Amino acid sequence: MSNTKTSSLTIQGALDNAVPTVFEAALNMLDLGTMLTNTEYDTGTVSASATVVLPYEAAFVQSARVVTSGTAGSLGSYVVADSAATPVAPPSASTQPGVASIATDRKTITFPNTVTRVVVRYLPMCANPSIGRSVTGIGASYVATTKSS
Amino acid sequence: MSDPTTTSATTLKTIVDVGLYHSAFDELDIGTMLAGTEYDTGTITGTTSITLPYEAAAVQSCRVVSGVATVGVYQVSDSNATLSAALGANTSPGVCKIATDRKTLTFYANVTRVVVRYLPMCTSGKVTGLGSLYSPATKG
Repeated sequence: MSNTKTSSLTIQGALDNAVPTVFEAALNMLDLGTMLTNTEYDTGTVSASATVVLPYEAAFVQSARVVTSGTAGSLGSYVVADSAATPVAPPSASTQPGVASIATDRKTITFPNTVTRVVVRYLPMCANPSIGRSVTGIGASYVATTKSS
Repeated sequence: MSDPTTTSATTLKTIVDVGLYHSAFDELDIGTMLAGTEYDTGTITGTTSITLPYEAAAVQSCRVVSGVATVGVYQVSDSNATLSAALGANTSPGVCKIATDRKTLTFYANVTRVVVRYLPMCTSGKVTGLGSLYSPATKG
């Protein structure tokens, strides 16, 4: 029989300290392999909104591309900047990049106009919440699985 | 009793490459690195170069908040990139560059405040960067 217990450590803290007894489990929760694989996330067609929410926290966002939008001139690639950046559309569709911002939740990307389809290339954290665990991000508590008789 | 350390001639990069993970990742602070960070210089004296507090594994974006340089977002390119201004304030991004030290960002004109989003390495201060000598703690 296995039980779980929640530590006061976060996954981030467990990785920083690299304590052998928790390190491998923390890496497992992070899904390091999937993270380093890099992902292209396609929202598909969505209701018009100026924001899209990534399915997982992003360690790093390489690019975001607006595929469809009610504003024709806003199509094209965007640099995804810090949370206080001013979103800006490209000078014209699919020319020089525009600017989007990502919130401090590492998941919410904001564009200057409403969008209806976006493709984002990024490094996702904790991207495989399978095998019964529920890890919401790198700041989540480290949860140890222990054996009990 | 404190833990004395011994210094090896092996760099952290090599240690990670060959798989001596626990202690090398401890010095790398991989959790904080992978979480990413937003670094704000605050108001500084006008300069064309700023230095990040820690080496960057990757730089996502850089934004000039104030300065002679055009305000707005800049793409951070390689150490030999040609620098350019944004098209106008808060319009299409300009280009800045990061040096091979992974810490120094250079702009085409003076800046007085910058916000950088990046993945920082070795944030605890135990070592200065990925090229630091590997120093495993040993019990004495």
